[in-house]
Amino acid sequence: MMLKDQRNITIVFLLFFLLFVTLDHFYSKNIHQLKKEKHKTIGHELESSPCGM
Amino acid sequence: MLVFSMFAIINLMSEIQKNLLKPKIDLPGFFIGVSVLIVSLLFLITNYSIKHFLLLIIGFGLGFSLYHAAFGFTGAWRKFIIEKKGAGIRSQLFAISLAILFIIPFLNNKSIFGSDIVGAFGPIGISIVVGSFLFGLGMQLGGGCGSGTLFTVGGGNTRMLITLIFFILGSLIGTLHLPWWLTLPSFGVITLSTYMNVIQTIIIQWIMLGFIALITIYYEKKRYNKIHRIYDNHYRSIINVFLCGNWPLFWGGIALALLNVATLFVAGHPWSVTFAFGLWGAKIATLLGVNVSLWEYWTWTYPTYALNQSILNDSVSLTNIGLIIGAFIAASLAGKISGKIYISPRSILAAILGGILMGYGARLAFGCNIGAMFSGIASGSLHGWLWFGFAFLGSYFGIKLRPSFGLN
Repeated sequence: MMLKDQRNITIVFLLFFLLFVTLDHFYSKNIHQLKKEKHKTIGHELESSPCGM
Repeated sequence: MLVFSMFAIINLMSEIQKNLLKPKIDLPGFFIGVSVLIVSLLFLITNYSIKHFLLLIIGFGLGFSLYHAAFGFTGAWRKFIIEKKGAGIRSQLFAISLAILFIIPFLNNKSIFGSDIVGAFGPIGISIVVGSFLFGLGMQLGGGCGSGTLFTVGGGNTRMLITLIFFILGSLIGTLHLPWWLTLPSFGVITLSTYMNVIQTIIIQWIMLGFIALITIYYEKKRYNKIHRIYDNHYRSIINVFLCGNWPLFWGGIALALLNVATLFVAGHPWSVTFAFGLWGAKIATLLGVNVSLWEYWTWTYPTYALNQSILNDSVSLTNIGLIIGAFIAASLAGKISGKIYISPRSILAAILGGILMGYGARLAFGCNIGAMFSGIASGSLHGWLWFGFAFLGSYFGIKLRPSFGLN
């Protein structure tokens, strides 16, 4: 019944999405730390851009 | 302290609503939206940096402006193709013209305040032609472009949520196929600044944009014997219009151009939307056990970096998240976020198809109407113009297909 209102669906979506982003934040942090221990450096080039080529 | 501040904001908004604002503010929605924004900003400033904090604020501004100005590329193109009303297109051309003025001189210097910056560049080739055509077709079926999908999702449009989900899926598939598309004939990246100086690049692009504006004026005058302005006076006060919406398109154009420049200053690249969709899709696929890191696209420099980092380290994702929150708060202030859902099965099918076409097309075309067209042209890259032409053509056919899905 509650999910018949578009606002409530948007709120549920927002909360699930932010939960996904938060979980990804902690998961990526752990992976990052493991890699750091192995290689002592991340090793990626940062000069590239997500915009265009 | 946070709770106290929120109560103070609610009280203030109630007073403003009683005394100043005509539209009925959705206070619970506004409260939730502002809470999410504040918590997100605090999270970013404590766990990341001021740059991440600023990018979320820029995204918020984009969402707020897009929603209140109803600044959609899809509807504006459709309005011109069907009704010959060109105010929406002219406001987009105005926004691009303004962004060109700021972005091209900075790109020429290749740095801002000592930090490197890069424009939105793409190759002139079959990949862009096919991708932008598919994107144009998809945006008419899906009901929104890259930015349009995000701000309508934030604004409470449930159908657009379906479009977004399949936009993400289409982007993911696009990342799988893009390396093959790039093996097809291409002239490579062509930028106007290679052949002319800054002033010439600005003027030649202004002339081209002005020419398109004149075409819209010609057809509009022919049909209506007058033209619709991109700035209209309102009976309500400026503060009322600013907070509760129905902005003149002119305001939207200025806001988007300045926020695009702000993105360049903070992120080091102009405003972009769809890279993040591919990234979100790749993250979800990884959670489901698909090893996307083996796909060629995800071995390229920035995609590899983005995939291995938190989503919050991706500047495009940050502005997208801010955009959704900004649109949600704007819709709550306008009192338009609630509404019962009714979506026909054919309309759902159009949303699915449109989303997939847009996602796939955006990867092939190196972006959407924002990353490829708006920021591409503002960077002086010819692929932005090619994108504009073929996406408009795709839109024309998309509009022809809309009645088959029960869409107007």
